[in-house]
Amino acid sequence: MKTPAISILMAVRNEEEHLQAAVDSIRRQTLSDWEMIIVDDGSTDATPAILEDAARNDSRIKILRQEPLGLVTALCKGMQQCRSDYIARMDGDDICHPRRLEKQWAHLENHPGLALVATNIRYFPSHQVRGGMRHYEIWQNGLVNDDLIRRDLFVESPFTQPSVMFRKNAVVAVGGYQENSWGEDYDLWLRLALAGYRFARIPETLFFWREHGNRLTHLAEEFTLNAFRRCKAHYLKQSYLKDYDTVTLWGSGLEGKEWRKTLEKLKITVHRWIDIDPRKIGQTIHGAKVEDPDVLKPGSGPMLITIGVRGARELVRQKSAELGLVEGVDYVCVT
Amino acid sequence: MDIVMQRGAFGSGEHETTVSCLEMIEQLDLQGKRVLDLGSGTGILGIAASLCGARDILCVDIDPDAVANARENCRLNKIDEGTVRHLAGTLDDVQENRFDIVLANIYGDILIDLCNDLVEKVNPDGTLLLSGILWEYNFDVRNLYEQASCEVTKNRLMDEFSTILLTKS
Repeated sequence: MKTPAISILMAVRNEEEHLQAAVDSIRRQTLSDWEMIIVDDGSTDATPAILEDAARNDSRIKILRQEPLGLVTALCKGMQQCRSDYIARMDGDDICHPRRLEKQWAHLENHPGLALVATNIRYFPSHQVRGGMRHYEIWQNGLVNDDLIRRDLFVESPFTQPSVMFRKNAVVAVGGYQENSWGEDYDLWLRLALAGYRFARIPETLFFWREHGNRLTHLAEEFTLNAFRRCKAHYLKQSYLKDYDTVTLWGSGLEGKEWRKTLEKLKITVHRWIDIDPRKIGQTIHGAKVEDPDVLKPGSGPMLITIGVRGARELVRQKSAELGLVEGVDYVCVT
Repeated sequence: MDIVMQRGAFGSGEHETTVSCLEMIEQLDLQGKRVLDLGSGTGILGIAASLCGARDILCVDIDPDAVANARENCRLNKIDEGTVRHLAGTLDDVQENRFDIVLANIYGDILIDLCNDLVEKVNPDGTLLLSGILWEYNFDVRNLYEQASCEVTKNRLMDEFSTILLTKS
């Protein structure tokens, strides 16, 4: 059998409400040379019937079943069956623009040095979308190239998982999807980034991300802020903080204090705090002095920006530029 | 179809969703029909319906400035005041029923919220032309209106928006 241009990889559990729409949006793609591997992770609703129907109507769709073993197991199982080296991820409740596959495929074809291409995303339905999600959407869509994605790599997950298309060989080379106590997608992006693989984003809205009350991201412990911090710290220790056992944290509020705890478990000590709050400057927090940003000099050791307030990142960047600090060298934003 | 439009804040008919509506209106049999245009904006769809032979058109928009603009556009196109009527308000303010055709070039999530009320305004065998539907809402809108005893006769998907033509059974 001829290898299709793209393998679409989807894992579902109890997605009867929106699955048909998701599958339909794939079947309407302008690029039709694809196979779709859908792993049913132990659904107990009408999902199996919808999938059977879909596979019966379209020979490009292949269904795999497993007991409810979880997303990572399902994705690994499905990926083994993907015959193309281009894998487009998709979820059972989202919608693709009809040109999504065509454009992502062309982008990877034309840029052999890229391991992954994302697109702009848009949350829907609009009445379900709260402020924080809009900020996330704007932030993510603003990461328009590899440099910006890398600069903000430790801020949040830079990609919506079901919106990406990646090269299977790159993902396999870094160990594929892995089970951790944090999100498997962010974990994978960080491993790809640290291994030197390059990313891109097509600046067009080709993926629509459905928001509903019960989506996994709100429920699962893996996605709590704490898990995110642990994941970031784990990979910072292997990269930016590799040769250090002490660090400066800019931001000594609640977020900064949580970071101190997380880093301490990895045997990295906070030896200095930076804060703009005049009441804090001069104080000692957990054995480390709080200092004014004006004391900062280039080349004086690693610093993480741990200010929890939205919008602070840009102010820090401004101030750091005035002080001659270089992002990625003198500091990394982690919030 | 030649329509004269004022330039203004309410779109002058160049948007893909408006163009799509105009093309579908041209293909409908509007001769002597009663039409509701919900979210009428500039009034362009109502004007088009009138030029295609519709007898009685009610243009409804929540924005009074849009309604004033639509009135002016009707005047520019020499549409008889008895043919196209205007109402500043929402669907709740429309007392009349039994329209032959409902035009609604508004957002998909609003079409979802209004589904039952909108279908109720249409005669059996009547037509609903729904547009302004962003891609991500297309499936949900079709699904919901089909559940409300409508049949999809056309589903046109454009770059960003989509248009759905339905018949009420």
